[in-house]
Amino acid sequence: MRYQKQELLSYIGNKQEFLQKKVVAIVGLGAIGSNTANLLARAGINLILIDRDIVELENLQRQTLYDEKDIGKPKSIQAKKKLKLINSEIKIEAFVEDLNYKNIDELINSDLILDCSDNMETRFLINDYSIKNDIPWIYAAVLGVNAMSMNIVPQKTPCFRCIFKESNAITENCDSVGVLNTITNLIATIQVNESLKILTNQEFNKSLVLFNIWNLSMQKFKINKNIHCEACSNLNFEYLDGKNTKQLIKLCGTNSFQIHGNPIDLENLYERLSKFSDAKINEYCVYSTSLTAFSDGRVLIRAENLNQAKSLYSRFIS
Amino acid sequence: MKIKVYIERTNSTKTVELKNNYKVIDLLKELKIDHTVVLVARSDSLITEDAQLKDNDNIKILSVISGG
Repeated sequence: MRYQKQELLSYIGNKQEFLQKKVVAIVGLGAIGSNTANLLARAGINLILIDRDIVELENLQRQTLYDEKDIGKPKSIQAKKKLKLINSEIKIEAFVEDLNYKNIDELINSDLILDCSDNMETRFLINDYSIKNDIPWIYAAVLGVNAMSMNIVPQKTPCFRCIFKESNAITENCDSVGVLNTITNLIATIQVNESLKILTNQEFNKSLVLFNIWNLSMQKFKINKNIHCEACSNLNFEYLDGKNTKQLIKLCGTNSFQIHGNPIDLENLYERLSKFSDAKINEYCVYSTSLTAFSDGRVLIRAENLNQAKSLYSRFIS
Repeated sequence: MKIKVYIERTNSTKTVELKNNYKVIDLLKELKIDHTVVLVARSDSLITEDAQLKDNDNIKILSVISGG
């Protein structure tokens, strides 16, 4: 009864039962991820939700699973609560974690991985994991009114590293350019659309797709395998081996930096921070206007630049 | 040789005159574009930095997008 409308479609039909046995891991529960999670949960697919961040006021413009009461709470946990209200029949696991080479094996054991992250390092890591373990994944990203997506299915398509390069350059991001909430919804819809095809072993898109929602334009570009690719040709998984891992990264969305250091005593940090700011504490983190700290050692710092972020970290954490 | 270049970031198109043996990477240097933050397409196919450019090519330079 619940899935009647999609079972009527010849594209899904009697594959609905098959779909309900599948597990999709969503990496990042921000603008794209909260929309993909919503659609997949409604379609009856089991989910693994991974996000390192908490909900902030400025997220509500585009991150559709959250409301004002969620501010200050971890996105993956709040997303799970909302999704369970939408569909109590599916299994949902939620992790308040930064996906990295140390925890990727235990976190994203799934049939398909959706990249809804905000940085290239995570994408190169997912790509390594995907090729090594023969699990498909879908890249999706947004900026301004533009979005890009590409399906990576080991043995059937070129991989992410065949096309994209490692870069230390500071590029335009959602901070400087902004992002329209219609483009995040659009690319999430495309990602879920392709997920349904891949999960049910049907023909899927093998091009890189680029959208500009303001101009209502879509372009498809053919992609070729790079025979010298470190990941899919040489099977050299540098990101999975932790060789290319940075301890400090710039995040998209706000002027945020993440520093991963030693485990943090949250009670102790809360006492110290309270003297200087409007700090709050919950079972997952301590947060204030300038930083959010998790017990595993991760600290998200809101700062104008890298040096200011390091300085705040030294002052309050290390 | 003359090639037509569309730069997606600035939504601009220009015609560039280049030496005959120029590759994609040479074009990006000429345009002062960091090769690590763009994808380059000829017509509707992505091409690598080593690809040889040809007279009358239609090249598109697309910015890599990473926000989520």
